[in-house]
Amino acid sequence: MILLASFPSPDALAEAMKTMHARGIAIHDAYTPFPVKALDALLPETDRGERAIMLACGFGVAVVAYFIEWWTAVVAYPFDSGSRPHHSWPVFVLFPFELGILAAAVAGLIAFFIKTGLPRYHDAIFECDLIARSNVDAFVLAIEAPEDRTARADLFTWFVSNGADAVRELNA
Amino acid sequence: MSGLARWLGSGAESCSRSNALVLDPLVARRSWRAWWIAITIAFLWTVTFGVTIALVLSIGIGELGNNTTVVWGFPIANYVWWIGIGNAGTLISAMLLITRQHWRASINRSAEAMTLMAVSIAGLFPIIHLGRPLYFLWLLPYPNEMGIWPQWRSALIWDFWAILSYLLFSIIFWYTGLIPDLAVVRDAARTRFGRLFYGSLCFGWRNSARHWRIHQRFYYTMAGLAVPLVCSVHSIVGLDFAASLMPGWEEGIFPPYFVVGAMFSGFAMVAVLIAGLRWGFGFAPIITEKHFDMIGRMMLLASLVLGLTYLTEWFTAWYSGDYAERRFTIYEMVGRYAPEYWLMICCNVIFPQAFWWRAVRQNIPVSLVIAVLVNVGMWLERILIVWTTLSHSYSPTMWTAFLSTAVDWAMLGGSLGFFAFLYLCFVRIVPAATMFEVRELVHERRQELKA
Amino acid sequence: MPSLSRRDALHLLASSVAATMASCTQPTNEIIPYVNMPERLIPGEPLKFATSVALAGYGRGTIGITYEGRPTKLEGNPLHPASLGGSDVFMEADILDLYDPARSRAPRGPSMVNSWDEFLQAFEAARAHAVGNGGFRLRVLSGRITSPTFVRLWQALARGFPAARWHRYEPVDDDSETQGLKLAFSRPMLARPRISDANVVLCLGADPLGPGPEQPALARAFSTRRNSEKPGGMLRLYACESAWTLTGANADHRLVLAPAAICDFALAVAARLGADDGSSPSLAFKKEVEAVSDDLLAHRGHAMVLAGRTQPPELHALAAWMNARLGAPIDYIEPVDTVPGTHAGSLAALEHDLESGAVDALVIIGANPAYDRGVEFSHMIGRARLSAHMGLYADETARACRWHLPMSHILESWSDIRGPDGTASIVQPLIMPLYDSRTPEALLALVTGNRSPRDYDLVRQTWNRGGNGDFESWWRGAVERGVIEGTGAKPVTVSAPSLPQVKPAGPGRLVVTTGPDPSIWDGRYANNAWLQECPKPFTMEVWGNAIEVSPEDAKEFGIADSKYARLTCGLAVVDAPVRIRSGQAKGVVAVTLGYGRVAAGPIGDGVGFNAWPLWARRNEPVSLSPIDSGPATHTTFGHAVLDEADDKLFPRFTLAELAKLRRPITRPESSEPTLLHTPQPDDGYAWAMVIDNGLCIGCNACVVSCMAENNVPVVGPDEIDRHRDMHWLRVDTYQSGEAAGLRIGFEPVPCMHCEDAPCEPVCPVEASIHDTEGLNVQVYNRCIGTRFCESNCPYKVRRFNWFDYAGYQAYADMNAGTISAQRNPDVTVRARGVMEKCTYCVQRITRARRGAEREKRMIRDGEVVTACQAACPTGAISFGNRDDKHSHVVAQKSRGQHFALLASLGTRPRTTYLAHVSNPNPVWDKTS
Repeated sequence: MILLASFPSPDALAEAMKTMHARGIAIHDAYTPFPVKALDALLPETDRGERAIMLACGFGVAVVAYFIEWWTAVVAYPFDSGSRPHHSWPVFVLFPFELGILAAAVAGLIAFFIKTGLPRYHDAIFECDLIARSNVDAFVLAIEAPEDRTARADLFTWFVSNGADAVRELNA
Repeated sequence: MSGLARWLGSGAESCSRSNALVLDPLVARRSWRAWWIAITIAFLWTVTFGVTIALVLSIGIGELGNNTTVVWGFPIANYVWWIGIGNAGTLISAMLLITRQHWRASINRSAEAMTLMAVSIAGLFPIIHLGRPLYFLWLLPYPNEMGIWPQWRSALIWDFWAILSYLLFSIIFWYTGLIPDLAVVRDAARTRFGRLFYGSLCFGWRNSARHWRIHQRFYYTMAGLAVPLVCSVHSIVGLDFAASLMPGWEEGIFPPYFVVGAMFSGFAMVAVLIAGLRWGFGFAPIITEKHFDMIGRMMLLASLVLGLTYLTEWFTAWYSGDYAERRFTIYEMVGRYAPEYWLMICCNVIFPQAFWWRAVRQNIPVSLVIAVLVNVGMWLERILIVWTTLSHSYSPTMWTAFLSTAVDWAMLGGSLGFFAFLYLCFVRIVPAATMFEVRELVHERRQELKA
Repeated sequence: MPSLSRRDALHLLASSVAATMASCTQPTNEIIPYVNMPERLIPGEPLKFATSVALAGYGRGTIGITYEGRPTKLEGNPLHPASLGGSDVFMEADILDLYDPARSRAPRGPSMVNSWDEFLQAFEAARAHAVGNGGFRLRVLSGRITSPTFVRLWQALARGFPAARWHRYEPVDDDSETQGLKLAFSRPMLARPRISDANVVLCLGADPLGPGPEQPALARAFSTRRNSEKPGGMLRLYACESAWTLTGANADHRLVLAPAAICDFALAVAARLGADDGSSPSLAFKKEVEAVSDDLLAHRGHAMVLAGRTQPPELHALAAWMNARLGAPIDYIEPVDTVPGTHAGSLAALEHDLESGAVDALVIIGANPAYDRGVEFSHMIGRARLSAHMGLYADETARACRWHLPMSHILESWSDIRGPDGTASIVQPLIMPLYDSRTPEALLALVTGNRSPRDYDLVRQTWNRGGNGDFESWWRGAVERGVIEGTGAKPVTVSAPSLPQVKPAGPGRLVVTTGPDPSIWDGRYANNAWLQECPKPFTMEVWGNAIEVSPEDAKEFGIADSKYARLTCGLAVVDAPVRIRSGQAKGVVAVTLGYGRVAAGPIGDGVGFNAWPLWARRNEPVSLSPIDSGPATHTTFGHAVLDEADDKLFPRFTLAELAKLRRPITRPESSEPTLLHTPQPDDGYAWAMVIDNGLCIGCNACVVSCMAENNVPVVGPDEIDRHRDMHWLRVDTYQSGEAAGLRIGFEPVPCMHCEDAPCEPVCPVEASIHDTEGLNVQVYNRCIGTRFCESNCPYKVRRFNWFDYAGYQAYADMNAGTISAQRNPDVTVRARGVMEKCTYCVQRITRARRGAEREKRMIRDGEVVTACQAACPTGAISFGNRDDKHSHVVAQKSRGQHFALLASLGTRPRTTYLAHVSNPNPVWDKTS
């Protein structure tokens, strides 16, 4: 079961999140109308490696592209073009550069999808009306609610007393 | 008005209102008469565009005004002009993002959309321009029946790949920024189709803080990549000319000069587009005079740099002592194309000087007029780069002028119409401003007021 | 019957000598596979046959190149004295006339479709009717015909019809010269200057280097004496002329004089040569007169004075007298032309007969009086009971006549013809007649009762009159060589010419000078698209002619350049565009003849204006006035005014300056420094070309030759107006100096085949690349038409197919089947959207290589001759292997005046130039 509480401001949300950490309650996720830097520290992240992937792909593809140039111009079909050198490296740099950046971008996009798990068209969380409000100005905190009712009631009252303007329970 | 408040007018006090504002063109059921009129006109021009292209492909590029001496003409100029506008969109958006300019929020979406459309149109012209367009894919390194490969020393190959990479890159960059907003449209959609349509487009985005974090990191990285890419793309376009040995082309200053030129025309075009948004879709609350003020400053800067470039050209022509260069520069100033040349100087250097005055920068109609003139000037610059050099290069016996035809002009007008058509569709299908950034702005503005 | 006669002709040719075997093809509408390969015919290998083509009735020996019996190209015959291996635009373009789809294909008579038989019946009827009342008054009107066979047949005919007369006139006649010489020697004469023996030549309005039957021979002679290295020094050329001629442009000293002033000048020179007729030299040119006459006297025996076609007879007589005084190297021969009297007189006699209704039958052969003598003549034609016209085209005269008979093109005919010096040559056909046509000889035979004449036999009968031993071998030799030795007229010794009384023409305010057009001669080439699109020297005008006036007159009469004006000579009035020509004499209006045809064909109809009416009334008062403008004139690229700072494009030297020159202006490109690695040819060939600006007389033969050899399409006037001409080779014309000292130089510009070619690295698809022998090749099927190559070419020598000029978008009827029969099978016909340019005639290089490899040797120097080089009458173009240290081209490149075009760009062109070297009179500059 998940307990969701919506706060009017990112600070209130962050505060609540801290408290939950202190109480040792597992935080499911948070839902905000726009990226909130303050939350990054509170939501543990396993790896941040997609930049590395982009770099690797970018350079890898660039190298391949340069090889293609070299191979076609020097090995496969060498010919005299205005008596320029077959291996005209200064101008050979441009094509790999363009292609490399494109490759990095594509790699980044793929990494983005993998890490976010998107596309994910249905999620239990959509059942809750607060998520739609997070499109506008609701900063929603979602926690793994404890099993026993008293603890939950206790949290409920705590949320309300700490500025949450709405609290929902969600069976997931 | 100071601080963040500058970027928001009355009507965007709350996130809900700013959302509603941006969503309005997509979901609101009201009369769109002006829009229908506009898109009809744009469509007619789009048809003209198609017809001229069909004409050139079927009858031959002899339909255009090119001749044995001036073998290049409108298609090349149009291409450079459009790619210039195209470059600006992503450049502006990315630079402002990296430098954390809040006022980016409400203009970057249209700027990037402009990029996509402009680059797609630009990409058509080099193909139309070919003598045998159906073989344009010989520029790709694929093992073809002739067993030959692209000639990598040719600037046209660099061009081809620059445009391709840039187009795809811009699509990714644009769409990444779009995903969270599409989610909002999904939830605001009135019809089932709308929900399905936008729902599938936004990949089930749910404002999760974890997603936001990844999204932002990726988005900023792309922005970081975009800046060098954009510069390289238009530098390469500059190299199309600079990598030759024709007087007036073989100038080291061309690449930076082209990049600045691109930014110049880009900002001008953005000004036109957001003026349209502000007027046609009531975006006034999120697109304020201050935005035009900023764009005005940018254009002023660019026009100064451009002016400096012209001076440099004249100086080097004189200082080099090279006979052909000097003869070329004199021809530029007093020759066959002198009227166009001086009109260009006025549009690109003289008129924008009005932006020194804040009153002018913040007067939207005036800055709109200047922006249009700047785009005219930039087009003239591109066509003159082609005409003047080719008309008057080393062999005096081959000197001649370019005689433009109706097809030339119709094709240029058609491309503009096509651009307008695409943009008008865009504003009805996609949020024309970055809603989540506007929300952030609104929120921070609230904080500011509290403090 | 016609088909039968064609079969006859087939039999005849099949059974004829082996020399002609390969020159006959099946009728074009059948395709018959070779069962037995004809002897000497290797598919794909061209065969060469010696024959002759005519201009103004004079034969010019030519070599016809044929592929599988299909002639595609004509080149000069080195053995023939009227060609000496060179050619001119007309010889080059004759091949296109052969295939012209507008040629008439069958006899035409009262009922539109007729046959030769019906014509013969009509002719018989006319004869029978005439015989009743005393003699058949047959009149034959032709241009100059020098064919011995024709003359023989005519004499036979004249025996049969005593009352028959042969009238002969060339629209562009030489009456003035013949009369003048008659004045001098009291007997008809032809003067033949031996320019190669002359050190000083004074031209009084004469244009020996200009277009005409003798241009190739005279230009060749001139060039032998313009070599700055040859011992014996260079010939010095003085030209006094009223309007620009090629001679004037190539002269060391050019004096611009109105016709009257030319007479004064001549008199003044004559006076200093000892003609004390008391007339004092006009003060204006006193010093020049002294300089010229001293120079002439200083070179007695090697100095000559030439008077021009349009000069009065007295001046010709005076020139003859001066030449006698100078012991000039000039031969005098009996007229080659057998019809006595002047052209004008001959025609006038006919007109008189027609007027008086004293003509039973009028047969016009080859001439077109209804055009060049006007409608008056076509009315007269109606006076004859029977009128027939024989010609290549159903032209204006054909319309005026009752009958039109298709004439075989000379390349389809067995005939014979004499050159300007009387040298006879056998004309052998390169192809079966394409249509149901006959030769003039066959026509004479027909009307004299020979019902199935074989022109082959007719010609042989002419020459087989004993005396020449074994006839067959003699015949074979004559046909193969294309020249019959010993038939040239022998120079006759002449009495000392009498000094004529020259009465200077009363100077009217304006004088009209007319001359044959450099592109279409007197109009007979009007339907030849190559010539219509061949840029005229100086003005670069194509597809039309213009009224040319001096700047002074233009100002006085308020006429603007390329605006229209009305020119009247007595009753003759023309409205035409004006071209202002600095360097033309004040008071002189120059026009060229041959335009304004109405029945020339789809190419020539309605192009330009007809100047013949002006010619007819050239001595009547002239007036000139501006009028509303009409359609613009058409000009191609190629003309530029040279400014001092840019003189590298066309450097000029005098002999003296050249002597001072230490080392070449540009060293041979192989020795120029470069950062780029230069390709080493792996088979020992490095092709290069040197063009001698000093020898180029600007005749355009190379331009047309290139079109013929390389299937260069014609684009037509509209595309010309959009600056889209396709000539691979252009003759740049550079103008320098001021009105009086205005100088014009010619510089042929083909592809430079740069070693560091700017066009190559910019091509994205490897369509423009370098081959191992240094050729800058264009691979058509790779080209996608980015045109980056042309935009990056400093010389702008590349040409682009904006439309399918050679195919379905061709101009007028230039894509007709017959036209494509002319195409060179060794050269690709370029499609739309493809770039093309000069290839150094790579197909000829390859052919030479095939030959060399068969014999396991290197290609010899001079074995590869490009089309332009072969055409050039002055040998200004040399081509060869730069790596062969003993080749002519290497020798040329090491000469002092050697320079490369735009060398400063570092393109290292393989095509380089020898600067123009002149031989001015040192005294002259002090005088003027």
